[in-house]
Amino acid sequence: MKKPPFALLVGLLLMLWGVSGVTSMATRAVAAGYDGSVANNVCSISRLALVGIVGSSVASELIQRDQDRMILDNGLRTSRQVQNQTSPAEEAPK
Amino acid sequence: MSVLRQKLSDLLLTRNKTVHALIMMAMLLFLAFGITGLGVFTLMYSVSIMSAGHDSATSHGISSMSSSRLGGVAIVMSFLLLLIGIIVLSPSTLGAAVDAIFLPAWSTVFVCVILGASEDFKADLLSPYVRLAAKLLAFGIFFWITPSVVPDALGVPLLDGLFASPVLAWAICTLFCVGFVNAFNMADGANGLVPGIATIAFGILFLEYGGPIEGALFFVCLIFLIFNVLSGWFFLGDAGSYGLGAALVCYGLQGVAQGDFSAGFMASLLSYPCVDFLVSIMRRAREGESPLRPDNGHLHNWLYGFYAPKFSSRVVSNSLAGLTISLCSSGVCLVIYLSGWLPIESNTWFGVFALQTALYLVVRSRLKNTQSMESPDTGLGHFDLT
Repeated sequence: MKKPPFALLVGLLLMLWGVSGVTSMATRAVAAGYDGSVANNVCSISRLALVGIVGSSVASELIQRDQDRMILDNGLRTSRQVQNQTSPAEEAPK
Repeated sequence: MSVLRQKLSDLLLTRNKTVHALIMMAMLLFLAFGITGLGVFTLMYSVSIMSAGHDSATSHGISSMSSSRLGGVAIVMSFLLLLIGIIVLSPSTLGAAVDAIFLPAWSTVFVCVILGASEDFKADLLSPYVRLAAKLLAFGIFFWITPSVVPDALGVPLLDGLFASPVLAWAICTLFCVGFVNAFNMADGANGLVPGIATIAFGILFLEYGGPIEGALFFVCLIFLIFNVLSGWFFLGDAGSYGLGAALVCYGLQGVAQGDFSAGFMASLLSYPCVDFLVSIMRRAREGESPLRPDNGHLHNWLYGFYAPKFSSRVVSNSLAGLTISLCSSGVCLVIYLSGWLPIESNTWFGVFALQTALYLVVRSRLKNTQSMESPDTGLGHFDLT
Protein backbone atom coordinates (compact mmCIF):
# COMPACT_ATOMS: atom_id res chain seq x y z
CA MET A 1 0.00 0.00 0.00
CA LYS A 2 2.95 2.33 0.55
CA LYS A 3 4.90 1.87 -2.67
CA PRO A 4 3.14 3.79 -5.44
CA PRO A 5 6.27 4.14 -7.67
CA PHE A 6 6.65 0.34 -7.86
CA ALA A 7 2.94 -0.13 -8.62
CA LEU A 8 3.17 2.71 -11.13
CA LEU A 9 6.06 0.99 -12.90
CA VAL A 10 4.23 -2.34 -12.97
CA GLY A 11 1.11 -0.65 -14.34
CA LEU A 12 3.12 1.18 -16.97
CA LEU A 13 4.85 -2.00 -18.15
CA LEU A 14 1.57 -3.94 -18.31
CA MET A 15 -0.06 -1.13 -20.27
CA LEU A 16 2.79 -0.93 -22.76
CA TRP A 17 2.72 -4.73 -23.11
CA GLY A 18 -0.96 -4.55 -24.01
CA VAL A 19 -0.55 -1.60 -26.38
CA SER A 20 2.38 -3.35 -28.03
CA GLY A 21 0.18 -6.41 -28.55
CA VAL A 22 -2.63 -4.33 -30.09
CA THR A 23 -0.26 -2.49 -32.43
CA SER A 24 1.32 -5.76 -33.53
CA MET A 25 -2.22 -6.98 -34.26
CA ALA A 26 -2.79 -3.90 -36.42
CA THR A 27 0.52 -4.49 -38.20
CA ARG A 28 -0.45 -8.11 -38.91
CA ALA A 29 -3.82 -6.90 -40.23
CA VAL A 30 -2.08 -4.47 -42.60
CA ALA A 31 0.34 -7.18 -43.76
CA ALA A 32 -2.54 -9.57 -44.39
CA GLY A 33 -4.34 -6.91 -46.42
CA TYR A 34 -7.26 -6.73 -44.00
CA ASP A 35 -8.48 -10.18 -45.01
CA GLY A 36 -10.27 -10.58 -41.67
CA SER A 37 -7.78 -13.06 -40.21
CA VAL A 38 -6.88 -10.58 -37.45
CA ALA A 39 -10.01 -8.46 -37.03
CA ASN A 40 -12.36 -11.45 -36.92
CA ASN A 41 -10.21 -13.46 -34.52
CA VAL A 42 -11.85 -11.87 -31.47
CA CYS A 43 -11.93 -14.94 -29.21
CA SER A 44 -8.41 -16.32 -29.42
CA ILE A 45 -7.00 -17.15 -25.98
CA SER A 46 -3.78 -15.13 -26.32
CA ARG A 47 -5.71 -12.12 -27.50
CA LEU A 48 -8.24 -12.38 -24.68
CA ALA A 49 -5.39 -12.57 -22.16
CA LEU A 50 -3.81 -9.50 -23.71
CA VAL A 51 -6.81 -7.20 -24.08
CA GLY A 52 -9.77 -9.06 -22.55
CA ILE A 53 -13.28 -9.59 -23.87
CA VAL A 54 -14.26 -5.94 -24.31
CA GLY A 55 -10.76 -4.86 -25.38
CA SER A 56 -10.63 -7.54 -28.07
CA SER A 57 -13.85 -6.25 -29.65
CA VAL A 58 -12.62 -2.64 -29.37
CA ALA A 59 -9.29 -3.59 -30.99
CA SER A 60 -11.09 -5.34 -33.88
CA GLU A 61 -13.30 -2.30 -34.36
CA LEU A 62 -10.23 -0.05 -34.43
CA ILE A 63 -8.47 -2.26 -36.96
CA GLN A 64 -11.53 -2.49 -39.22
CA ARG A 65 -12.34 1.20 -39.10
CA ASP A 66 -8.76 2.38 -39.45
CA GLN A 67 -8.10 0.55 -42.69
CA ASP A 68 -9.35 3.36 -44.90
CA ARG A 69 -7.45 6.18 -43.28
CA MET A 70 -4.33 4.77 -41.67
CA ILE A 71 -1.08 6.16 -43.05
CA LEU A 72 2.00 4.10 -42.41
CA ASP A 73 5.09 5.87 -41.07
CA ASN A 74 7.07 4.92 -44.15
CA GLY A 75 4.66 6.94 -46.28
CA LEU A 76 2.87 3.94 -47.75
CA ARG A 77 -0.88 3.67 -47.73
CA THR A 78 -2.76 0.55 -46.78
CA SER A 79 -3.79 -1.93 -49.44
CA ARG A 80 -7.49 -1.05 -49.04
CA GLN A 81 -6.72 2.62 -49.63
CA VAL A 82 -4.75 1.76 -52.74
CA GLN A 83 -7.69 -0.34 -54.01
CA ASN A 84 -10.15 2.47 -53.30
CA GLN A 85 -7.97 5.10 -54.91
CA THR A 86 -9.27 6.04 -58.34
CA SER A 87 -6.61 6.26 -60.99
CA PRO A 88 -6.16 9.63 -62.79
CA ALA A 89 -7.00 7.94 -66.11
CA GLU A 90 -10.42 6.88 -64.78
CA GLU A 91 -11.09 10.36 -63.49
CA ALA A 92 -10.21 12.08 -66.75
CA PRO A 93 -13.20 13.43 -68.72
CA LYS A 94 -14.12 11.41 -71.76
CA MET B 1 7.30 -20.98 0.40
CA SER B 2 5.28 -21.42 3.56
CA VAL B 3 5.66 -17.71 4.31
CA LEU B 4 4.34 -16.89 0.85
CA ARG B 5 1.44 -19.31 1.31
CA GLN B 6 0.67 -17.77 4.68
CA LYS B 7 0.72 -14.25 3.23
CA LEU B 8 -1.52 -15.28 0.34
CA SER B 9 -3.90 -16.96 2.75
CA ASP B 10 -3.98 -13.85 4.96
CA LEU B 11 -4.67 -11.71 1.93
CA LEU B 12 -7.53 -13.83 0.62
CA LEU B 13 -9.13 -14.68 3.94
CA THR B 14 -8.82 -11.25 5.43
CA ARG B 15 -11.99 -9.41 6.33
CA ASN B 16 -10.51 -6.23 4.95
CA LYS B 17 -13.13 -4.98 2.50
CA THR B 18 -10.57 -2.86 0.68
CA VAL B 19 -8.49 -5.88 -0.30
CA HIS B 20 -11.60 -7.79 -1.39
CA ALA B 21 -12.73 -4.85 -3.48
CA LEU B 22 -9.30 -4.59 -5.09
CA ILE B 23 -9.20 -8.30 -5.92
CA MET B 24 -12.73 -8.14 -7.36
CA MET B 25 -11.85 -5.11 -9.48
CA ALA B 26 -8.62 -6.69 -10.72
CA MET B 27 -10.46 -9.87 -11.76
CA LEU B 28 -13.26 -7.95 -13.45
CA LEU B 29 -10.84 -5.72 -15.34
CA PHE B 30 -8.68 -8.66 -16.40
CA LEU B 31 -11.76 -10.36 -17.84
CA ALA B 32 -12.90 -7.21 -19.61
CA PHE B 33 -9.57 -5.76 -20.73
CA GLY B 34 -6.90 -8.40 -20.09
CA ILE B 35 -3.34 -7.43 -19.18
CA THR B 36 -3.86 -3.91 -20.54
CA GLY B 37 -6.79 -3.37 -18.19
CA LEU B 38 -4.75 -4.70 -15.28
CA GLY B 39 -2.01 -2.24 -16.22
CA VAL B 40 -4.37 0.75 -16.19
CA PHE B 41 -5.92 -0.51 -12.94
CA THR B 42 -2.49 -0.81 -11.30
CA LEU B 43 -1.57 2.67 -12.48
CA MET B 44 -4.85 4.11 -11.15
CA TYR B 45 -4.41 2.27 -7.87
CA SER B 46 -0.88 3.62 -7.48
CA VAL B 47 -2.18 7.17 -8.05
CA SER B 48 -5.04 6.60 -5.61
CA ILE B 49 -2.65 5.74 -2.74
CA MET B 50 -0.45 8.78 -3.25
CA SER B 51 -0.50 11.16 -0.31
CA ALA B 52 -1.12 14.16 -2.60
CA GLY B 53 -4.77 14.87 -3.26
CA HIS B 54 -5.88 12.74 -0.32
CA ASP B 55 -8.86 13.60 1.85
CA SER B 56 -9.15 12.16 5.34
CA ALA B 57 -12.17 10.06 6.30
CA THR B 58 -13.56 12.89 8.41
CA SER B 59 -13.57 15.39 5.57
CA HIS B 60 -16.33 13.60 3.63
CA GLY B 61 -20.00 13.36 4.35
CA ILE B 62 -20.45 9.92 2.81
CA SER B 63 -17.15 8.17 2.64
CA SER B 64 -16.12 6.45 5.86
CA MET B 65 -12.60 5.86 4.53
CA SER B 66 -9.87 8.17 3.37
CA SER B 67 -10.19 8.98 -0.32
CA SER B 68 -8.28 10.41 -3.22
CA ARG B 69 -9.49 13.00 -5.71
CA LEU B 70 -6.73 12.34 -8.23
CA GLY B 71 -8.95 10.23 -10.49
CA GLY B 72 -8.74 12.83 -13.23
CA VAL B 73 -4.96 12.89 -12.96
CA ALA B 74 -4.94 9.08 -13.24
CA ILE B 75 -7.22 9.24 -16.31
CA VAL B 76 -4.96 11.81 -17.98
CA MET B 77 -1.83 9.76 -17.19
CA SER B 78 -3.36 6.52 -18.49
CA PHE B 79 -4.71 8.22 -21.61
CA LEU B 80 -1.38 9.88 -22.43
CA LEU B 81 0.56 6.67 -21.81
CA LEU B 82 -1.78 4.74 -24.09
CA LEU B 83 -1.43 7.35 -26.83
CA ILE B 84 2.35 7.54 -26.48
CA GLY B 85 2.45 3.75 -26.58
CA ILE B 86 0.33 3.68 -29.74
CA ILE B 87 2.42 6.41 -31.44
CA VAL B 88 5.78 4.94 -30.47
CA LEU B 89 4.99 1.27 -30.95
CA SER B 90 2.65 1.47 -33.91
CA PRO B 91 3.96 1.69 -37.47
CA SER B 92 1.03 3.97 -38.31
CA THR B 93 0.24 7.63 -37.78
CA LEU B 94 -2.89 8.55 -35.84
CA GLY B 95 -5.55 9.87 -38.18
CA ALA B 96 -6.38 12.68 -35.78
CA ALA B 97 -2.78 13.90 -35.64
CA VAL B 98 -3.10 15.47 -39.08
CA ASP B 99 -6.35 17.25 -38.20
CA ALA B 100 -5.98 21.05 -38.05
CA ILE B 101 -8.29 21.25 -35.03
CA PHE B 102 -6.38 18.60 -33.08
CA LEU B 103 -3.69 20.76 -31.49
CA PRO B 104 -5.86 23.80 -30.50
CA ALA B 105 -8.63 21.57 -29.15
CA TRP B 106 -6.39 19.37 -27.03
CA SER B 107 -4.40 22.40 -25.84
CA THR B 108 -7.66 23.87 -24.52
CA VAL B 109 -8.51 20.59 -22.82
CA PHE B 110 -5.00 20.54 -21.33
CA VAL B 111 -5.45 24.05 -19.90
CA CYS B 112 -8.69 22.92 -18.24
CA VAL B 113 -6.96 19.82 -16.83
CA ILE B 114 -4.16 21.95 -15.36
CA LEU B 115 -6.68 24.34 -13.78
CA GLY B 116 -8.52 21.40 -12.22
CA ALA B 117 -5.32 19.66 -11.13
CA SER B 118 -4.18 22.80 -9.31
CA GLU B 119 -7.35 22.58 -7.24
CA ASP B 120 -6.92 18.84 -6.64
CA PHE B 121 -3.35 19.12 -5.42
CA LYS B 122 -3.87 22.29 -3.36
CA ALA B 123 -7.39 23.47 -2.59
CA ASP B 124 -8.08 27.17 -3.30
CA LEU B 125 -4.73 27.67 -4.98
CA LEU B 126 -6.67 29.61 -7.62
CA SER B 127 -9.89 31.38 -6.76
CA PRO B 128 -13.06 30.30 -8.64
CA TYR B 129 -13.07 33.60 -10.53
CA VAL B 130 -9.45 33.19 -11.70
CA ARG B 131 -10.27 29.70 -12.94
CA LEU B 132 -13.39 31.02 -14.66
CA ALA B 133 -11.39 33.77 -16.37
CA ALA B 134 -8.68 31.29 -17.45
CA LYS B 135 -11.31 28.99 -18.98
CA LEU B 136 -12.97 31.89 -20.77
CA LEU B 137 -9.60 32.90 -22.18
CA ALA B 138 -8.69 29.36 -23.25
CA PHE B 139 -12.00 28.71 -25.03
CA GLY B 140 -12.07 32.26 -26.46
CA ILE B 141 -8.67 31.75 -28.08
CA PHE B 142 -9.65 28.27 -29.26
CA PHE B 143 -12.76 29.49 -31.10
CA TRP B 144 -10.94 32.54 -32.40
CA ILE B 145 -8.18 30.51 -34.08
CA THR B 146 -10.42 27.62 -35.20
CA PRO B 147 -13.70 29.20 -36.36
CA SER B 148 -14.59 26.01 -38.24
CA VAL B 149 -15.57 24.44 -34.89
CA VAL B 150 -18.32 27.04 -34.41
CA PRO B 151 -21.53 25.57 -35.89
CA ASP B 152 -23.40 27.58 -38.54
CA ALA B 153 -26.76 26.47 -37.19
CA LEU B 154 -28.08 24.45 -34.26
CA GLY B 155 -31.58 23.71 -35.49
CA VAL B 156 -33.10 26.15 -32.98
CA PRO B 157 -34.60 29.15 -34.86
CA LEU B 158 -33.74 31.83 -32.27
CA LEU B 159 -30.17 30.63 -31.76
CA ASP B 160 -29.63 30.18 -35.50
CA GLY B 161 -30.38 33.87 -35.95
CA LEU B 162 -27.71 34.74 -33.40
CA PHE B 163 -25.23 32.33 -34.98
CA ALA B 164 -25.51 34.28 -38.24
CA SER B 165 -23.14 36.84 -36.73
CA PRO B 166 -19.63 35.36 -36.39
CA VAL B 167 -18.75 37.48 -33.34
CA LEU B 168 -21.97 36.56 -31.54
CA ALA B 169 -21.46 32.91 -32.45
CA TRP B 170 -17.92 33.08 -31.06
CA ALA B 171 -19.13 34.68 -27.81
CA ILE B 172 -22.02 32.22 -27.39
CA CYS B 173 -19.79 29.19 -28.01
CA THR B 174 -17.16 30.46 -25.55
CA LEU B 175 -19.74 31.08 -22.83
CA PHE B 176 -21.49 27.80 -23.54
CA CYS B 177 -18.27 25.78 -23.30
CA VAL B 178 -17.16 27.40 -20.04
CA GLY B 179 -20.66 26.89 -18.66
CA PHE B 180 -20.67 23.26 -19.74
CA VAL B 181 -17.28 22.54 -18.15
CA ASN B 182 -18.56 24.04 -14.90
CA ALA B 183 -21.79 22.09 -15.24
CA PHE B 184 -19.81 18.86 -15.63
CA ASN B 185 -17.84 19.73 -12.51
CA MET B 186 -21.00 20.61 -10.60
CA ALA B 187 -22.65 17.31 -11.52
CA ASP B 188 -19.68 15.32 -10.23
CA GLY B 189 -21.12 14.53 -6.85
CA ALA B 190 -21.86 10.81 -6.83
CA ASN B 191 -19.86 7.71 -7.71
CA GLY B 192 -20.29 6.73 -11.34
CA LEU B 193 -22.33 9.77 -12.35
CA VAL B 194 -19.93 11.88 -14.40
CA PRO B 195 -17.62 8.92 -15.20
CA GLY B 196 -20.72 7.00 -16.39
CA ILE B 197 -21.89 9.84 -18.61
CA ALA B 198 -18.36 10.30 -19.99
CA THR B 199 -17.99 6.55 -20.67
CA ILE B 200 -21.30 6.42 -22.56
CA ALA B 201 -20.45 9.59 -24.52
CA PHE B 202 -16.96 8.41 -25.51
CA GLY B 203 -18.40 4.98 -26.36
CA ILE B 204 -20.81 6.60 -28.81
CA LEU B 205 -18.06 8.85 -30.19
CA PHE B 206 -15.88 5.78 -30.65
CA LEU B 207 -18.66 3.96 -32.50
CA GLU B 208 -19.14 7.06 -34.69
CA TYR B 209 -15.54 7.96 -35.44
CA GLY B 210 -13.67 4.74 -34.62
CA GLY B 211 -10.44 6.60 -33.90
CA PRO B 212 -7.76 5.51 -31.41
CA ILE B 213 -8.23 8.65 -29.30
CA GLU B 214 -11.93 8.01 -28.71
CA GLY B 215 -11.13 4.31 -28.14
CA ALA B 216 -8.47 5.16 -25.54
CA LEU B 217 -10.77 7.66 -23.78
CA PHE B 218 -13.64 5.15 -23.69
CA PHE B 219 -11.32 2.45 -22.38
CA VAL B 220 -9.78 4.64 -19.64
CA CYS B 221 -13.13 6.13 -18.56
CA LEU B 222 -14.71 2.66 -18.31
CA ILE B 223 -11.87 1.37 -16.13
CA PHE B 224 -12.10 4.46 -13.93
CA LEU B 225 -15.89 4.02 -13.71
CA ILE B 226 -15.46 0.46 -12.40
CA PHE B 227 -12.78 1.62 -9.94
CA ASN B 228 -14.86 4.59 -8.80
CA VAL B 229 -18.11 2.66 -8.34
CA LEU B 230 -16.66 -0.42 -6.64
CA SER B 231 -14.06 1.26 -4.44
CA GLY B 232 -15.84 4.42 -3.35
CA TRP B 233 -12.51 6.01 -2.37
CA PHE B 234 -11.21 7.23 -5.74
CA PHE B 235 -12.92 10.32 -7.14
CA LEU B 236 -12.66 12.17 -10.42
CA GLY B 237 -11.66 15.52 -8.92
CA ASP B 238 -11.60 18.82 -10.73
CA ALA B 239 -8.89 17.76 -13.19
CA GLY B 240 -11.10 14.91 -14.38
CA SER B 241 -14.38 16.79 -14.55
CA TYR B 242 -12.83 19.83 -16.24
CA GLY B 243 -10.79 17.71 -18.65
CA LEU B 244 -13.57 15.29 -19.62
CA GLY B 245 -16.08 18.15 -19.86
CA ALA B 246 -13.76 20.17 -22.11
CA ALA B 247 -13.00 17.15 -24.32
CA LEU B 248 -16.70 16.30 -24.71
CA VAL B 249 -17.76 19.86 -25.48
CA CYS B 250 -14.99 20.17 -28.11
CA TYR B 251 -16.05 16.88 -29.71
CA GLY B 252 -19.71 17.94 -29.53
CA LEU B 253 -19.27 21.32 -31.16
CA GLN B 254 -16.97 19.94 -33.84
CA GLY B 255 -19.43 17.14 -34.59
CA VAL B 256 -22.36 19.55 -34.83
CA ALA B 257 -20.33 21.97 -37.01
CA GLN B 258 -19.38 19.10 -39.37
CA GLY B 259 -22.94 17.78 -39.45
CA ASP B 260 -21.96 14.42 -37.92
CA PHE B 261 -24.78 14.71 -35.38
CA SER B 262 -27.40 17.23 -34.32
CA ALA B 263 -27.17 19.66 -31.41
CA GLY B 264 -30.24 17.93 -29.98
CA PHE B 265 -28.35 14.62 -29.87
CA MET B 266 -25.51 16.15 -27.85
CA ALA B 267 -28.01 17.93 -25.60
CA SER B 268 -29.76 14.64 -24.94
CA LEU B 269 -26.49 12.74 -24.41
CA LEU B 270 -25.23 15.29 -21.88
CA SER B 271 -28.62 16.28 -20.53
CA TYR B 272 -27.99 15.74 -16.83
CA PRO B 273 -25.06 18.16 -16.34
CA CYS B 274 -26.79 20.81 -18.47
CA VAL B 275 -30.20 20.59 -16.77
CA ASP B 276 -28.79 20.21 -13.27
CA PHE B 277 -26.52 23.22 -13.78
CA LEU B 278 -29.34 25.47 -15.00
CA VAL B 279 -31.76 24.33 -12.28
CA SER B 280 -29.08 24.79 -9.58
CA ILE B 281 -28.19 28.29 -10.80
CA MET B 282 -31.87 29.30 -10.87
CA ARG B 283 -32.50 27.77 -7.45
CA ARG B 284 -29.57 29.58 -5.88
CA ALA B 285 -30.51 32.87 -7.54
CA ARG B 286 -34.07 32.52 -6.23
CA GLU B 287 -32.75 31.86 -2.72
CA GLY B 288 -30.42 34.86 -2.95
CA GLU B 289 -27.32 32.63 -2.77
CA SER B 290 -24.17 32.87 -4.88
CA PRO B 291 -24.53 30.70 -8.00
CA LEU B 292 -20.99 29.40 -7.35
CA ARG B 293 -21.71 28.25 -3.79
CA PRO B 294 -21.87 24.45 -3.47
CA ASP B 295 -24.97 22.93 -1.88
CA ASN B 296 -26.77 19.61 -1.51
CA GLY B 297 -29.87 20.39 -3.53
CA HIS B 298 -28.94 18.46 -6.66
CA LEU B 299 -30.99 15.53 -7.90
CA HIS B 300 -28.15 13.12 -7.07
CA ASN B 301 -28.25 14.37 -3.46
CA TRP B 302 -31.98 13.71 -3.20
CA LEU B 303 -31.58 10.32 -4.87
CA TYR B 304 -28.84 9.43 -2.41
CA GLY B 305 -31.24 10.41 0.37
CA PHE B 306 -33.74 7.98 -1.17
CA TYR B 307 -31.27 5.07 -1.36
CA ALA B 308 -29.42 5.69 1.93
CA PRO B 309 -32.03 4.20 4.33
CA LYS B 310 -32.30 1.09 2.17
CA PHE B 311 -28.60 0.12 2.26
CA SER B 312 -26.22 -0.09 5.17
CA SER B 313 -23.25 0.86 3.01
CA ARG B 314 -22.89 4.50 2.04
CA VAL B 315 -20.75 3.51 -0.95
CA VAL B 316 -23.57 1.34 -2.33
CA SER B 317 -26.13 4.14 -1.96
CA ASN B 318 -23.74 6.67 -3.45
CA SER B 319 -22.85 4.46 -6.41
CA LEU B 320 -26.49 3.51 -7.01
CA ALA B 321 -27.49 7.20 -7.07
CA GLY B 322 -24.76 8.02 -9.60
CA LEU B 323 -25.37 4.99 -11.82
CA THR B 324 -29.14 5.45 -11.79
CA ILE B 325 -28.82 9.01 -13.07
CA SER B 326 -26.16 8.29 -15.69
CA LEU B 327 -28.11 5.29 -17.01
CA CYS B 328 -31.47 7.11 -17.03
CA SER B 329 -30.04 10.17 -18.82
CA SER B 330 -27.14 9.28 -21.14
CA GLY B 331 -27.99 5.56 -20.99
CA VAL B 332 -31.39 6.20 -22.60
CA CYS B 333 -29.61 8.10 -25.34
CA LEU B 334 -27.24 5.16 -25.85
CA VAL B 335 -30.13 2.69 -26.12
CA ILE B 336 -31.92 4.86 -28.72
CA TYR B 337 -28.65 5.31 -30.63
CA LEU B 338 -27.78 1.59 -30.64
CA SER B 339 -31.28 0.51 -31.59
CA GLY B 340 -31.32 3.05 -34.44
CA TRP B 341 -34.72 4.48 -33.51
CA LEU B 342 -33.54 8.00 -34.27
CA PRO B 343 -30.78 9.08 -36.65
CA ILE B 344 -28.19 11.12 -34.78
CA GLU B 345 -28.50 13.95 -37.30
CA SER B 346 -32.17 14.38 -36.45
CA ASN B 347 -33.49 17.39 -34.56
CA THR B 348 -36.08 15.07 -32.96
CA TRP B 349 -33.42 14.55 -30.28
CA PHE B 350 -34.50 17.91 -28.88
CA GLY B 351 -37.77 16.15 -28.01
CA VAL B 352 -35.83 13.46 -26.14
CA PHE B 353 -33.94 16.21 -24.32
CA ALA B 354 -37.26 17.87 -23.37
CA LEU B 355 -38.53 14.55 -21.97
CA GLN B 356 -35.30 14.07 -19.98
CA THR B 357 -35.67 17.60 -18.57
CA ALA B 358 -39.27 16.91 -17.58
CA LEU B 359 -38.23 13.63 -15.95
CA TYR B 360 -35.49 15.45 -14.02
CA LEU B 361 -37.92 18.05 -12.68
CA VAL B 362 -40.63 15.53 -11.77
CA VAL B 363 -38.27 13.10 -10.01
CA ARG B 364 -36.46 15.88 -8.14
CA SER B 365 -39.74 17.39 -7.02
CA ARG B 366 -41.08 14.02 -5.83
CA LEU B 367 -37.89 13.15 -3.96
CA LYS B 368 -37.71 16.60 -2.40
CA ASN B 369 -41.31 16.40 -1.21
CA THR B 370 -40.89 12.95 0.32
CA GLN B 371 -37.69 13.98 2.13
CA SER B 372 -38.72 17.54 2.95
CA MET B 373 -39.33 16.82 6.63
CA GLU B 374 -35.71 16.04 7.26
CA SER B 375 -32.56 17.55 5.79
CA PRO B 376 -30.87 15.04 3.48
CA ASP B 377 -27.77 13.62 5.12
CA THR B 378 -25.94 13.45 1.87
CA GLY B 379 -22.69 15.34 1.88
CA LEU B 380 -22.46 14.42 -1.78
CA GLY B 381 -21.66 17.91 -2.89
CA HIS B 382 -18.00 17.76 -1.99
CA PHE B 383 -16.97 18.45 -5.59
CA ASP B 384 -19.60 21.03 -6.15
CA LEU B 385 -17.13 23.80 -6.92
CA THR B 386 -16.66 25.80 -10.03
